[in-house]
Amino acid sequence: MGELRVRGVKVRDTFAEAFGMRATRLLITAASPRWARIAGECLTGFATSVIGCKVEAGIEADLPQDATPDGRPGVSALLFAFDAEELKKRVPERVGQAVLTCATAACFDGLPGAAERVRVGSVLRHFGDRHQASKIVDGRRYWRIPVMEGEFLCEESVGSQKAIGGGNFLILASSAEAALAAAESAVAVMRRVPGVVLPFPGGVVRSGSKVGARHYKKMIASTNDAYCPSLRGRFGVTTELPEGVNSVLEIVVNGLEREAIEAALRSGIEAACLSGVVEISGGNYGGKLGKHLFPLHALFGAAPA
Amino acid sequence: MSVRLTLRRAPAAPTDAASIRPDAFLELDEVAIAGLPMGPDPESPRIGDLFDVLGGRSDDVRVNGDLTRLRGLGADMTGGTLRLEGDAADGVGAGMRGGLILVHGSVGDEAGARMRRGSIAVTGRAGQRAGLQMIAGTLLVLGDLGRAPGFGLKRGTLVAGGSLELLPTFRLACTYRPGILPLLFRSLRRHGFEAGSRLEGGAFRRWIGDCADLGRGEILHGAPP
Repeated sequence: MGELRVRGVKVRDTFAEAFGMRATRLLITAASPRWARIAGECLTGFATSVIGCKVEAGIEADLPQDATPDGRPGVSALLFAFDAEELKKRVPERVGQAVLTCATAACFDGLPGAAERVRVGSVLRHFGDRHQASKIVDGRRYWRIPVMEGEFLCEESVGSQKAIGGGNFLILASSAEAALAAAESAVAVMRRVPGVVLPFPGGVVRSGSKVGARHYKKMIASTNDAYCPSLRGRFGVTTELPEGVNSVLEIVVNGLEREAIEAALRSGIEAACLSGVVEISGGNYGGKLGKHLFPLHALFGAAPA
Repeated sequence: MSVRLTLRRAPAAPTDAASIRPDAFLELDEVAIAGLPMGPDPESPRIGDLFDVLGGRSDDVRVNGDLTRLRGLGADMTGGTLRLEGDAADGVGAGMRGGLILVHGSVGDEAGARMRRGSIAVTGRAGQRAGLQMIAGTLLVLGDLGRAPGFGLKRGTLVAGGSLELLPTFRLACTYRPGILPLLFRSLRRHGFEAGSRLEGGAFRRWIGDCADLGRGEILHGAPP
């Protein structure tokens, strides 16, 4: 088992464990970059984990006006659900509450080539109470739903595809400050990778979890005690933390393709290896959670153990 | 691959040209297209009698010449693209159910009459009753409209860039920027049709009508400069 160091920081020879999801990409445009952001942030708000939010989502990129369907500034958002049925319920719900309501915003399909469709405009049109109208431009149908401001323009359906949720790595640091600085550094570069989003607050998770709970049967997930520095030495806890680790933060990345997640993990780990970081590890559940495994060493060209 | 029809000589009298529709050319080669009667009357002249035909088996069709005696170009078409390089007579795209007609020139009366789907875009003017009894679809005219535009309009959209005299059965709704128009303008530009910066950047008056009929249609009139 070879040892891998990135910028002097040890990367544990383990894997990040991720799981299959169903995802869509929405392009949201508005009168200004600010309003596009507002719509996008509302649309992808409260969407950290499917455990409690049904959807995991984030803003993939800000879009300049020449990169949007209607020539206005926009954002592209990725939304992930557990399966296609769930996605079909959640996308119209979120667009209806967060984009239809948002001043100047419009909603377009960001996966027009995808054969699997999620209905959006064709559901939300009912808000128009039969005053809505549709237009077909270049074979794609758009609904014009009258609202007090003017019209809400929403594409009839958006594409969906298989995707991966829960790509991750753990930053094991000597202090909470060092962990946060490393996490922020990682998030800044990972957000530039196309095809991924970091659904947790600020792109960072402090509450990594294990599957189920030892003491509460109802819990689907509970605190990852092996990685909680404050539990080191406690009865019933087998710590995974080396000496000198006093705080751990996790970066979780969801992506449309495996390659995009790999690129994000690679650049994120590199950016996270700052002073005060003791080790980089991966969140895995011994194969209990998902079938998509990302051996950390393989990201850097080293053969996994 | 495309089909190009070049008019050799304009017919002496107005002639039905409803066979010139791109969807009908998709399976036909050059010779078969030239052999088609111009209109429903089997005695009518063949396309090849009036036009030089170049290419076949395509629904991307370009027609060049003085088309002012040819009626019903693109009528009832269901798909494809028809480009008219020159002024056309009455009934362009009447009853069309899909596809796109681009006219670099002006059109006669009753363009887009009873159309159901698809788009017609005209750089020049349109004659009387443009969009007559239109059921749905889009008719864009950059120039002036003749009398009674949108007469009997049920649904669908007439976009007017020039002057027009509205029927009293159209009601002014508001002045705004309909979000769908940038998509339409961008699509047209990809096909080589420029609507111009005045319309592309401007606001439109929305007239609801025809209120003597179903009244679910609209005339979007580009605010004058």
